[in-house]
Amino acid sequence: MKLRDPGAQPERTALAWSRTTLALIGAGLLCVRLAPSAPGTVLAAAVVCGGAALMLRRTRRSFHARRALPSGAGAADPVSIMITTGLAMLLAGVAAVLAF
Amino acid sequence: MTATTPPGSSGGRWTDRLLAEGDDPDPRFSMANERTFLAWIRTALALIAGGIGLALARDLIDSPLRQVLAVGFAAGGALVAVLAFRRWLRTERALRRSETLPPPALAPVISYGLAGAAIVLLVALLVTR
Repeated sequence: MKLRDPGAQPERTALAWSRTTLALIGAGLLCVRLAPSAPGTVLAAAVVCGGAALMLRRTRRSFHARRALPSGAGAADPVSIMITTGLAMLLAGVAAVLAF
Repeated sequence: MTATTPPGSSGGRWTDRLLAEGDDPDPRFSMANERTFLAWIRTALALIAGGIGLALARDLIDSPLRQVLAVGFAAGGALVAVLAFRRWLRTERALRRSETLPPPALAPVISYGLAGAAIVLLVALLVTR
C-alpha cells in the first residue's frame, strides 16, 4: 500500500496559497475603494501590488514544487512566507489609518 | 528559470542562513508547515478585516471607542501574523534537525484573546447603546 500522494500535496498547498493571496488582494481592493483619505489609498494599493507579485511568485514556485517532490529537495520558500507576513502587517496598518 | 540555481533552493544567501542547519526534510512536511502558516495568516486577515470594518463603521459606533477597537483588532491581527511567521520558522528548523516540533503557543492566545474581545465588545455595545 502506497501512502504517498505526490499529486495532492502540492495541489492543496497551491490552493491554500491562492486562497490567502486572493483574500489579501480582495481586502486591499476594498480598502482602495473605501479609504476616505490619500494615505489609506496609497497603503492599500501597495497591498494589492504586493499581493499580485506574491501570486506571480507562487505560480512559479508551484512548478518547482511539483518537480522537486520525487527527489526530496527542500520545498520551503522563506521569501514567500516573509512577503505574506509583511503584507498582512501592512494591511493592519491600513486598518489603523482608516480608523482616523 | 536559470540553469545555475538548483531546483528547490530559493537562491539568496540570507535565506540559506535562515534555514541553515540540518538536511532538507520530506517536502510533504514542509508543505504541511506552509499550509498551517497560511491558515494562521488567514486568521490574522480575518481579525484585520474586522478592524477595517470597525474603522469604517462610522454610523454604528461612536468615535473614540470605534478607533480603539479598530486599532486593537488590527494590532491583534498583526501580532497573529508575526507569531505565525515565528512558528513557521521554528517548525521548519525543527523539521530540518529532526527534532520535536514546537508546542502550539498561538492557539491559547487566540482563544483567550477572542473570548475577552467578545465580552469587551458586548459591554461596549451595551454601554454606548
